[in-house]
Parts: sequence; structure tokens; C-alpha cells
Amino acid sequence: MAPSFAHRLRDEAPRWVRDGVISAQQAEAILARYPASAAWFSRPIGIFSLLGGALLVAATALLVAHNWHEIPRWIKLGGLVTLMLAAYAAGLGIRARGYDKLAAGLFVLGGGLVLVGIALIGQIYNLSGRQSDAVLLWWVLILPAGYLLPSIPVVVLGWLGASAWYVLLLFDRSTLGRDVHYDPPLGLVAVAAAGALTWALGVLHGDGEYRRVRQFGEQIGLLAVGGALLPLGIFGDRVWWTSAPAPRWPIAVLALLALAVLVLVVAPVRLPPDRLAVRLGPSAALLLVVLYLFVAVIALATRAPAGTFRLLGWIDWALLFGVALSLILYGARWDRTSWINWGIVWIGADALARYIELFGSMLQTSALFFVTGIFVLLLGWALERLRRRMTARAAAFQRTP
Amino acid sequence: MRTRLFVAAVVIQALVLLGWAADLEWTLARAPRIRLAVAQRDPRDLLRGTYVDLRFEIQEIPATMLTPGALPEPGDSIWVILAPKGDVYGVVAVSRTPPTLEPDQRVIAGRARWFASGVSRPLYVEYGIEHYYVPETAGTVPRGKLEAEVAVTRNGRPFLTRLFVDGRPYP
Repeated sequence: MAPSFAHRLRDEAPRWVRDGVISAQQAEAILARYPASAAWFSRPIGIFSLLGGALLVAATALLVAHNWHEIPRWIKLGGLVTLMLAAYAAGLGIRARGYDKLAAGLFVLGGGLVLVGIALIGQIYNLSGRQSDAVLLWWVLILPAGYLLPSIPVVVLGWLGASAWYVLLLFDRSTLGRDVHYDPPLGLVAVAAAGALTWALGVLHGDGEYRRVRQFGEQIGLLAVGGALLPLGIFGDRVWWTSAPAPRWPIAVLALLALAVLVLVVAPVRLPPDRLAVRLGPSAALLLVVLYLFVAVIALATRAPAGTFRLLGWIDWALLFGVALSLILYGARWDRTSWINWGIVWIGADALARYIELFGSMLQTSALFFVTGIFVLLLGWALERLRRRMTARAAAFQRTP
Repeated sequence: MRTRLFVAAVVIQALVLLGWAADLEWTLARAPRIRLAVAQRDPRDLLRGTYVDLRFEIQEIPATMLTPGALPEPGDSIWVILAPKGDVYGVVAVSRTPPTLEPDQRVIAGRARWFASGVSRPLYVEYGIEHYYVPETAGTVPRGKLEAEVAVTRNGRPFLTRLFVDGRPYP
């Protein structure tokens, strides 16, 4: 909610005095003329309004719930669409008055009601098709509205919807999940590919009005890539491969990898101004990940021998470390602290995974826990020091003209 | 300008919801009804409320009706040809393409899900009508012969319209 005029005066007046715009006496006189009023919700009328409103809403909700099946279906749907339009309209009106956060909440409510509308139609007509189709329809509908306004919370909601849709596809054996069902590591490949794609799409949002979407996309992307590469590091284990004949080529996963390559090649255009070789760096690092994923798909589809998967596991360790390092360095160069943080997390998780893999079978459980505890504490301390140093360097780099 | 485009995007959202419901109403009004035997039931969906989860007899396609060289994979479209068998409709044939029907036959479209385990390995098919939403106060479905009334369009799209327990509408 925007601060009131009187509150803003109290913030600004000392600065005006310090800058010599007005004298201290004048500042006092101005502040005395506009006394700060208590927040609206602390006044009795505000409290009674809130309570009364909440009771009315609860009563209406109970009334509707008790008579839900007697309400004609078009009244249900019409009521919901009216609520949705009212939420959007109220958001627009409130935003015009400067209450941006409240307006954002109303836009998110409007976007959420679209999903409720889709679920309601499913209930009314007893539809029980793929849940992923319903989520797809939802995010496709709300994302353009979010970008057009722009409303960053609605855009983020849309991207969350897209992520949920993708996860549902991975578990749906009649779509992408069909290939994953036959080859579980393909699920990790698909998650990592989607992560690289999301990171690149995030970068494409640039540093303008969609800066928050960029940050969100980058973070989700790095979380997905790191979260998938970590377990792929144990490719050498027999759990991850099978000698059974592959049913077919996973075309959808390969298409996703191709799309990720395309967007990664374009992404450097929206990175901060720098030498071309430097700007290509982060994308090149993630292109290496995509290339690795492509090789992993071929190895899975052709049922490569066990040695190939052991080699892929070792490459995964090195790749995870190398990409994390490049994220830290580029993050420091362009003041992108989330890159630094994720790079540190990747290195820490990679080191921990390798440690447990190496010593897990050599030590008794109690000794393993004890030594691992010390290892984790030391690793956390070292990584935190590294993170602080890189973040400080990034800030210093930005301050240098 | 951007606000106008935003309003247009919001109007599209409302039109999609209302248009979808109108299309369903129109299709339902024109589709003939058939009855199907229900084998099992089980309740509840957190998002959409209480429902009865149905398993139809026509969901299990005997292996003898499938062409051995062209078995469907999960997600593939299936057209199941139905004909009256007593009070309800039962499976008489299966097709991987939209079939031509005899006068008393109906077709229902679904998606192959998986092959059941066992020697004969029947195919399990989903039609998108496996959930029937009921009032929370309706209680559990009483014991008895359970049948479902389904409206089926000419191209095989099914809509679950009513449930019957021992011939009486439920709930």
C-alpha cells in the first residue's frame, strides 16, 4: 500500500532540511500542519468493517456451499466469471490510485479464479481427462494478461503454472512420461533441459520492467539444472541403466534439448554490456550441459554399455563443478547474486554427494555421520566465506564507474 | 494502450470459460444417451470436491479383440465399438481409427493406458468419464447394481450424465 501524504512528509522533511531546501523551523511548521493519522486498520471503524466484512463473506460462502448442487450450473459459472472480472477491475482501479501491492494481490486472485473456473467446468460436466491439459489452459490464459499489464506476480504465477504443467507431463504415461516410464533417468534429463531453457528464457527478460521475472526464471532454471545434474552424477551405478531394449527414441526430450540450444544461443543478447566473448560465457557453460544431456539420451536410447554410464557420471561431476564456478564468476562480474548463491550451492551439494559416494561404503554408520557432520560444517563455512567474498566483489565492481 | 490489451486478455479468459461451457452444453444436448455397467467405485477429489471414481466394464478390452501386430501404446487413441447387451452397452470391437457403425452400434473414444498383468493381458482404456461429482451430503453410493448414463456424440466423445443404483437415479 502506498504511504500516506503525512507519512511521506515525515520521511522527506529531514532530507529537505539537510539539503537546505527549507529551515528546521519551517519543517516543524509543515509537519504540524499535517499530523500523521493512525493506520486505517487501527481505527475502530476499520476493525468493525473488517469483522463485519469477514462475517458477511463467511455467511455467503456457507450459503453457497450448502446449496451448491441446487444452484443452476450457469449461475455458478456466471458468478465465478463475474468474481474474476471484478477482481481484475478492482485491481486496475486500485493500481491507478497507487496501491500497487494490493492491486497485485487482486490480479493474482483474478488469475487464480481462472483455474477455479476450469476446475468448476470439470466438476459441472464430470470431465476427468488429463490434469495437465487443465493446467496448460490456465497458464496459457493468464500469462499474456500478466505480461500486458505488466503484473509481475501474475507472470510469476503463470510461470509456476507452466512448471506444474511440465511436471504433470513427466508423470503422465500418455505424454512425455511415456519415455520417462521406460527410462527413469530421462526424467532427470528432461528436468535439466527444461531448467536450461527456463534460465535462458529468464535472461531474455533483461533488466527493464521484467527484471523480477528474469530473476525468477534464472533461479527456477538453475534449481532445475542443479537438482537434475546432481543425481545424474551417480550414472555409474547400475540403478541408472538397463540392458532391456529401448522402446523408441525419446523425440519429445530431444526436441526440448534442441529448443534449449536455440534459446541459449539467443540469450546473451540480453546480458549486461560487455565484451562478446564474456557475454557468451554463461550460455556456453549451459550449452555444455545440454550437449552432455544429449549424449546421455543417446547412451540411454542405444542401451550403451555400463562403462559409458560410469564415464557420464564422472563427466557430470566435472560439469557441475565447472558450470557452478562460471556462474560464480559471471555473477560477480554482473552483480547477479543469485548466480553466485546457486553456484555455491551446486559446489557444496556436489562435494557432499561425492564425499558420501566415496566414503559411504567404507565407514560404519556412526563414524560416517560423525565425519560427515564435520565435513558439512567445514564445507558450509568455506562456501559461506566464498559467497560473501564474491558478493562483496560484485558490489564493488558495480560501484566502480 | 497496454491497459486495453490487458482488458482484452481478461475478456478472452472469460470468453474461453463461458464458450467452453456453452460448447459442452450444445454437444450434450445433441448427444444420444446409453447405459454402461460400472464395475467399481471409490471417492474424492481435493480440488473439485466429492466424487465417485468409477471403473466401467468397457474399460477392460480383452486381448482377443486386439490386433497382435499393432498393439496400442499408452496415450494412443482408441475407438471402442459398443452394442446393446441386455440393459447396457458392451464392447463388440476395437479400432485404432474412427470406425463405420451398424445401426444399433455406438462408438466411444478413449485413450489406451496400460496392459493389465496376466496371461491374456487385457488393455485398460480411459474415456475421461471416470469421475462423477456428487454433493458432499450425498454420502457413499449405496450397494446395488451400479450403471452410468453416458451421452455419446457421433464421433465418440462421451459425457457422464447420471448414475443409477438398481435402476434408480443417484443421488
